[in-house]
Amino acid sequence: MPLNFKSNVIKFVRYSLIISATAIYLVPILYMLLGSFKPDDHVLSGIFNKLQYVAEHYSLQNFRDVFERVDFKRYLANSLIITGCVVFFGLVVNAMAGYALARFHWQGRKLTLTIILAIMIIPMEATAVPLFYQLSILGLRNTYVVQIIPFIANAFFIVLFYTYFLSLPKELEEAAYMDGASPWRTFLFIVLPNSKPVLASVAILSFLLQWGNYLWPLLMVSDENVRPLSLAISTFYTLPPLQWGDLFAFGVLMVLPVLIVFIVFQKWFVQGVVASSHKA
Amino acid sequence: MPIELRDICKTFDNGLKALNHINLTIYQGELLVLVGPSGCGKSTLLRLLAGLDKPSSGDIVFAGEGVLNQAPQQRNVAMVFQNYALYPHKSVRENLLFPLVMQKLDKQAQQQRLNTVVQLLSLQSFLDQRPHQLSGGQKQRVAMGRALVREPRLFLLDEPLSNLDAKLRTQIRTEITALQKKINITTVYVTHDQVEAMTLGQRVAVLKDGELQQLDEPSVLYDKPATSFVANFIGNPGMNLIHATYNDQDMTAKIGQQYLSLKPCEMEYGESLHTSPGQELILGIRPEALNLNSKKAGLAVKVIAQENLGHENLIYIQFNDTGIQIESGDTIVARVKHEVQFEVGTDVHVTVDATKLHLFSKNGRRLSKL
Repeated sequence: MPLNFKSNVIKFVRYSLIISATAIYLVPILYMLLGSFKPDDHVLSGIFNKLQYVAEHYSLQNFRDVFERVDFKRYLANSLIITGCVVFFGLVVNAMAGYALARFHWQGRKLTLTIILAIMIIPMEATAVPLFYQLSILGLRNTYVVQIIPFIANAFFIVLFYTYFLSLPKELEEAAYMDGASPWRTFLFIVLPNSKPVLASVAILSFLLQWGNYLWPLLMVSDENVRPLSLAISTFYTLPPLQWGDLFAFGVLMVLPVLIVFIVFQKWFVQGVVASSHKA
Repeated sequence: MPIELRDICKTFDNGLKALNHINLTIYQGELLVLVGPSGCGKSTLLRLLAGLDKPSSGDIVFAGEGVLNQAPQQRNVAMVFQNYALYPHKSVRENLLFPLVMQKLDKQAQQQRLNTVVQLLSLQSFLDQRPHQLSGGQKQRVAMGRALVREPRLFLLDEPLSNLDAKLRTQIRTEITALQKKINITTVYVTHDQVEAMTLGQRVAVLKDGELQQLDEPSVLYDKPATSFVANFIGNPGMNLIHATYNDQDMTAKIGQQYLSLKPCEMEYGESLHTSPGQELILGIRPEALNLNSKKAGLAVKVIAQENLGHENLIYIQFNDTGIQIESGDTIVARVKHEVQFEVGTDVHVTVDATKLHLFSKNGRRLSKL
């Protein structure tokens, strides 16, 4: 009996720790979610405060307000276009780069790989200002292009692809060569279909990074027509009157697409992280 | 299609010499087996034929035409890989069709070729399954099918049976021989298993450390091995190799403190025996040429171990005379009839049938009639 009691206490302590750690991450999200349904003047009165009241008076008014006060659909479309392009072209470019590094022998291959690894440690913020000047001179401010181009090639994703391709059995590609396929077709018809896990990982990571990208559009974009959600939520915050309920509703709307992408690709994503971590 | 390898050398980037001046002709429609221990360069040679690697020097000629500048996809050569390398994301049918799609064959011709191969290899029952759903033997057949469906000029097999269990291996071995006779495509087969080599090959090339030791029919490899390596490698167990000193005056070989008359070998070896009196020789003795007796005739030996194989016994023996150097390991092996049994640890004597002796020079070359 005492033994059982002791193990129960340990269990209790263990789960309490886990639950409180989880709460630290979940409470803000819950706060946002609940707040988005509350009347504006009740939002800041605590998370669970007046829950009874909210349960009776919950409304979608805040969501309606977001669409009325700003051109949310425009921002959403901008974000989808920019992120979609970055994800798609990023997959193409980074996969091809990783494949060239993993499978072909060319002069300067090792040096290139070293440089790419080195680039991984340079944060975007460090090069943001020079990049700002460079692209301003080219007259690219306030365009989609300027929000897409700098994020397509990504050192980290190239390394992810590189390590994954190294782990693929080489015989598959050699068999394809023997079967009459060119290197290009081999990549397209044999390598890529067997790389779903890493493709999914890179797609999701790239989507997440780009969806929340704030600093770069802040520097490059002032035109509302090409403004992405990440920048729009901060300008929405400065738009009087300050209504917390509307802001929370905006946040919920912004998170939804990410959640959908993640749920759809979750299975492959986990496989991909496991697969590339095995080799790396 | 006849194939010629002319003075092929291959040295890898890390300095490893995989192939050393290989000259080899493969006849039209022949099944040639490349055999040797791992690391002997046999798979490298196959990859050179396939075009997956390039030789450091030398020339490869297909039907009179040099192919060194042709990529694998231009050579029309098919290959079966050791691990089969079936495309995991494609069904068996799609795997078989892939080479034809790459050839841009029209749909009707594709279907025709597919049907031929499916019948030839009895693949009907699992055409729509994925490779991971197949057994080892089935995968093996699909891999053969994918190679044959293109009707290649040259058919390469890289240890195709090594992932199968012993029984299936014997079965598929006979299937491959029959199939090769039927389709009559020039075939090169790589294996490390000398039994496979002897049973499959019309001719067998034995490689060691990147050098061609001997290229001959299986029976010649067994009866007249060109080097002491081939003698020991071919046959199971291989030939016993014992160092001896030759005395030309009375034509005897001195093994430790014992003398063995080589007179019966004169017919076979003739003048080559007499060229350098006092020379060191390596005597090659097949396990079946050794006679064990308890009558104190011949060399004194001790029985170390005995293996009962059912129809025969293998007796492992060691010389009592410690001055005898054995090239082929610590012990020598005798093959005796099933009824003959010796207790481990007993002292017995062994005599040699001198007409069945093989003589090699100190560096392992077979002595031959001059």
